[in-house]
This record gives sequence, C-alpha cells and structure tokens, in this order.
Amino acid sequence: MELVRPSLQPADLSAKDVERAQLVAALREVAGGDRSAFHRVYARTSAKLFGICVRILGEGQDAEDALQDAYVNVWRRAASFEPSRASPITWLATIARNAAIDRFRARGSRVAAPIEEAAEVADTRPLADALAEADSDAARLGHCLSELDPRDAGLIRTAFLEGASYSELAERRGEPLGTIKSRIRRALLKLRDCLCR
Amino acid sequence: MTEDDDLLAAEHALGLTDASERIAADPAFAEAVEGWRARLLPMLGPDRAPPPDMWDRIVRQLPANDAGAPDARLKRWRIATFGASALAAALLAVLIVRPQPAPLPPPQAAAPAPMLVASLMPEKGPGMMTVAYDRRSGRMLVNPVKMDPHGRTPELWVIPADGRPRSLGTIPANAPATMPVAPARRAMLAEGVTIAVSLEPSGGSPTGLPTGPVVMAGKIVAA
Repeated sequence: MELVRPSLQPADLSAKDVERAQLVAALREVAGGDRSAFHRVYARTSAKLFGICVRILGEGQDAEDALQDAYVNVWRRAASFEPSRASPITWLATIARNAAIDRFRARGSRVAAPIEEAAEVADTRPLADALAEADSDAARLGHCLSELDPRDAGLIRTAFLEGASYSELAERRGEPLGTIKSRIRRALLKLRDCLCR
Repeated sequence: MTEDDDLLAAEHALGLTDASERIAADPAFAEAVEGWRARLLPMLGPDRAPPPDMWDRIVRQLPANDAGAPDARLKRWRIATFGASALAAALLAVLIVRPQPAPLPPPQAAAPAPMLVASLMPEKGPGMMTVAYDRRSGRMLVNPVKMDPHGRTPELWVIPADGRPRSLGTIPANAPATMPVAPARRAMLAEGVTIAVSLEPSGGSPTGLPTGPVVMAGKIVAA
C-alpha cells in the first residue's frame, strides 16, 4: 500500500485487510485494559461469536453464558494474541468455540439419557443443510463436506462441534480407535483437496 | 510441511489433538493450524445477533483494570491518539505478513515520521474513521467505519493552529479510499493538529467552510 510502503500498490490493501488491521489494533488496546476498544471488538465480532455459541449449544441460556465466558476470556487473554500468527477472527472464533464446548461438555455430563443416542441424531444430520447460506466460504465448505462419506463428515462435525475426542468417537461408533483415526485423516485430506480446487 | 504435519495441524484445529507446544516452536506449523481454522470456520456459523443486554452482562463480569480518568474528554483524546498509532502499527503488521511483490527500498536516513495518522470519533453514537497520511507521497488513506452521513456528503477538514478549517476534500461514507492532499494543505498536516468531518451538500461545502454538523474529530499523531 502506497501510503505505508511505496513498493506496494493501493489495491493491495483491501477493505478486509483494513478491517482486520482495525481489529488487531483494538485487541492491542484491549490488552492495555481499554474498555472502549473492547466495546469496538464486541460490536464488530459479537454476531459471529454468538453464532458459534448457538451453533454448538443451540438456542437458550447456555449459548448466552458461553458468549459471556468467551468475551471475558478475550479481555483476559488479549495480550497473548499474536497478529503475526493468527487472524483476529480465527483467534476470537477459537476462544468462542472453546467456551461453548466447555459448556456443552459440562451439560452433557448432566444429561440423564444416554449420550450415544443424542450423538447419533447429531451425527446423521446433513452438514451441507446447516451450511446452506449465501456466504461463499460456507457454501464451498458445505459442498466439500457433502462430497465426503456422510459418516466421516459426521465424525468431523462431532469432533469440531461437540469437542469429542478420538476415543469418544470410537466408543460412540463402536469401531476401533485406529479405524476412526484413519477415517478422519482420510476425510481431512479429501476435504483439503476439495477446498483447494 | 509434510502431509502428516498438515494432518496434525488439522487435528489440532478440530480439537482432537493438543499440539500447542509445536505451534509455539514452529511458525510454519502454526500457519498450517491457522489455515485449517480458517477453512473450518464456516462450520461454526451462521452469524447471530446476541441479545441487546449482553454487553452490559459481559462488562459486569470484567475484572476492574480500567480506572476511569476524571477528565472524560482528555481520556477520549488519549484513546483516539493511542488507537491511531496502534492502528498504524497493525496496518504495518498486516502488510509485513503479506507476500512482498518487490524488495523494500533501503531505510531512509533520519527524517520526520513519514506516516501521520488520526482516529476520528463522534461525540456520541456509533462510527469511527481512520486517516493515514504519507508525507513522502502526499497521499492519504481514509477509512470510515459505520458512519451514517444522513444522505449527505462527508467532507474532511484540517484545523491548524489558526483555528480556521481548511477542506481536504469530500470522502466516501462507507468505503476506504486513498486520495492526494492538495500541496497547499500538506504543511498543515502535523502532529497535534485536529482533523474533522462535517456533513455537507452533494459536491461539498459551497462556502469553503463547514456548513453542516461536525460529526467526528480527532488529533493527528505520528505513526
């Protein structure tokens, strides 16, 4: 970008880059304890982070509590954000996912009905349907997941959205750990190739 | 990055493995994890607006480490100026991690800071704008965020020591733009000088002075 580095053209700096830079700057101020910067971060990202909580926990109090946990963690951990290593959005999304997964797992242990039953229902829900939206990244991921064996896509989904470990997945599926591992790894490679096409 | 390493990165992003130590030690691996996080991110959507009282609930839970300054106006300035330099640093960080099309020119000998920036904020309400001015090229970048021009044309002003606003031209309300600064105005852009935005009729102020409300202002700092 010409203003900063004469060797770059203005077109190199897209609106997305500027948005990203503003979030990075705001997070840096949050690390210094600045609440007005924290509010800017919240205003720009709360819809995405709440979407994550609702996706993992469904509607209701748990999703709201998880969002609250997530932002308190953002406030506490802003100093550990390294803009050279991660984009602010993936960093924030990871914090929100972890907060929601913690709540999900705490809830799961309270549920009286067998978890396996609920998990099977969740596993067989087509991912592509859930991802059917205008966003082109989401549409592409939905398409690529739909190209996988539905059972493998279900494994990826259960790991990512429920925080299930390899051994839990093996137990739920009643398949050996090694089989589950190679299924997931094969599916991940296929997913990557599809997304890179 | 071998296929096994990339799979390990994917497993970490999915939460199946904890490879935090490897991430801390291996930037290429950290980049692979970041790539997978970005790939998987849409699975966590779609966006959803949180309940309106959510922000207040979050603030009530924060540990108190933000002792309020007694002079709110001074505090606001401080935020604006600190925000501006942090933003300039972040813009640089974004540019530095991008692939460079050509080698950088050698650093210039000691000279005044080539970059000046200002964060403009409204008295109240939403919206903000960043202005970055490059003394070497005489061009500036303006980046308005969530500005509501109420159907009018935003115009940018510099208010130097004599207190009389000089126009820097009309600007877009909702998109970043770069534009040249008129040579006669360049010397006015200096540290500590105020930049402001007013809302004007289409085509800009007909009088050469702001005729509409001033919606945002901020001070210039060196980046």
